[in-house]
Amino acid sequence: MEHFFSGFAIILQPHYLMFMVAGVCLGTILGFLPGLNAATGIALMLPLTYGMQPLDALVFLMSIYTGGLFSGGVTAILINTPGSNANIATTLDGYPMHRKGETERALGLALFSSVIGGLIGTTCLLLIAGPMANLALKFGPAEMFMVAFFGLTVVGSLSDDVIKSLFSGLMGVLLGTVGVNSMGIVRGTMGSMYLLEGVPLIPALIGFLALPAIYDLLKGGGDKHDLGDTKVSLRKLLSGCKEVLRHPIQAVVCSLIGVIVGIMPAAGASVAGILCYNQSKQWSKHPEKFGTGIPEGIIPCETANNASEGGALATMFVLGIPGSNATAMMLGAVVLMGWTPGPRMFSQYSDIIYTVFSSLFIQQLVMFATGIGLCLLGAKLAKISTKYLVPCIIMFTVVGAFAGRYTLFDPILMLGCSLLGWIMKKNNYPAMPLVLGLMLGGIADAELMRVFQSFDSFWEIFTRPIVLVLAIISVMSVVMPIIMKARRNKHTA
Amino acid sequence: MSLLLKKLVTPLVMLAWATYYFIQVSGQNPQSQYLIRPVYFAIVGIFVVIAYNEYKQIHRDSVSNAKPVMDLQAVWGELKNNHVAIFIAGTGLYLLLMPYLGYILATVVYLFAGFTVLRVHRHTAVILAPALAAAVYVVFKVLLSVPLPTGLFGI
Repeated sequence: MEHFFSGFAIILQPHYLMFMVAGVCLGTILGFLPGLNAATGIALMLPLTYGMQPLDALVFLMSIYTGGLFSGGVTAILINTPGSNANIATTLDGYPMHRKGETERALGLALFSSVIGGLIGTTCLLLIAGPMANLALKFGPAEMFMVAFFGLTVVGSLSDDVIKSLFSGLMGVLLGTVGVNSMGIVRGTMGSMYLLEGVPLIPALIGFLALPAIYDLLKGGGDKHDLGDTKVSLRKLLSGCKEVLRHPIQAVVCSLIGVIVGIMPAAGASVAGILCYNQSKQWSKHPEKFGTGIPEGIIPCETANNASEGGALATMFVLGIPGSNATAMMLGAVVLMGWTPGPRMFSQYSDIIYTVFSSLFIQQLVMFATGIGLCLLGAKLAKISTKYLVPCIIMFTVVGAFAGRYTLFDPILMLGCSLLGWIMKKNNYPAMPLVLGLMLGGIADAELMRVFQSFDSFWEIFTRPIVLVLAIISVMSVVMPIIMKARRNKHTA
Repeated sequence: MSLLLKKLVTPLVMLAWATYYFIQVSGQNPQSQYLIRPVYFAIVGIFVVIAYNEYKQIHRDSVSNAKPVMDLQAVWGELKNNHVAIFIAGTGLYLLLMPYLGYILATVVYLFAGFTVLRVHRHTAVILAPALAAAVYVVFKVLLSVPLPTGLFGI
């Protein structure tokens, strides 16, 4: 914990403040641009962090993430299109409020809700990360293997089609084992020396997660959005901010739900936002007013999705399991720094990680300050046509993929992954389980080998309580959605 | 049958690669197969389930006559106007030409072609393409010292 307090002394240096302002501004601006979100922002900015110190890179990328989460709500309010899935529920009341001529009020509510959610999420992150890490330190190869297995099953079960998700996740596991294994055996490289260290993470992440979203922008042929009258006044924006304080219980409860959902791998901000919106509607004395443009309809989603960041970061830093596309990108950055994701990462780099936590508090304040300024510009940015953005973004991703290892093999691989990712998306095969499998496959393989070296038989690992609990949860997380889906189908038939 | 195959193209491609990988690993040390073997068999099992589900879906659709027969001309028309296919092919060409043309020249051509496909005003495209290529060159080559490809012309 002392790292956390001393972290403030480090993070308040002008050098880091500059990274935070730049990151939050970039994340916010990228989030304003149609079709782009925090994950794309991190993917685009990753190449710039190649030469940075780990703390600089993490602070910069986290700031992009923080800014991107908030700005997705702005496009949800202004053009009825959420910047990311995390802001879907904001459209339900934000856009009607904008159409009623209360744009500033809606933007102020979204901004201050995001700040409150972010602050509560970061506080929870600070409180839970340490105990979680202490527990995780007791993990041996059996527990580590089961953590990787658990991460994969949870991702599979949170998608619409469990079977397709599992297929995708298992393919990712196989891809994750490509390269030289811990015994020095070369597998699946097809003779390419570029794959000896495994499938390079950054080109694969950009290809599977970021580029298919960019290709989707091409469908509209570069249309502009009709924003109506979007003049924003500072005074009304601030009064919108103040309005959040009139709903303190809703803001705190939704933030706490957001943190709990965020801890679950792959549940992330989108589930948190929708869940809290539905809960707020159920708890409200006037549920019929939801969807007509009321403050109680904006606060839950915006607090919950920002608070879930704290939970998702705890899972990412302590267990090495990403909770969303954006945290997957961030984990990719961590791997690039030479860190090995997993429980030991937290104890090895606790000084840097706690300093990053300190920066998250400051980032919320930076987001509030820059958010006010950028809300005034948001309407203009959201008008930028995608026909200018797509070629530039693709070119930038090509250079970004190249800059990792200075080889054209990586952008070519990225393009191949993007084609596969796009085809998968068209056929409802989610890419996130594949990416998670890619990240966890290598770890699971190495830990399984250690399990066989440490135990007489594989089944012996189930005598360990943590392994047993994780195994039960993993099986339930696959079986329960299948049963529930079958039940739903039976009811609708 | 053809519709079923079309629906199974994605998992079939993945399964084909998984099979190649499994066969390759089968000849190696048993320890390096601990994870790969069960994962491969799980993939095969899930593929069978997916194929069965797709077959059932197609059968259900054909009974209710939900889907019209695909018109070849319509497919060609869709392909011609498919910006995604154009951009993926164009980016592939861009990457193939980059070692010969160098980063700057290849990027200017790629961006100009991309803007033209998306019907950006010609004058804007003429200004934007070299300006953006130069800006990225300055950031990566000059500031971050990334050795971007120089090509036959040395630029």
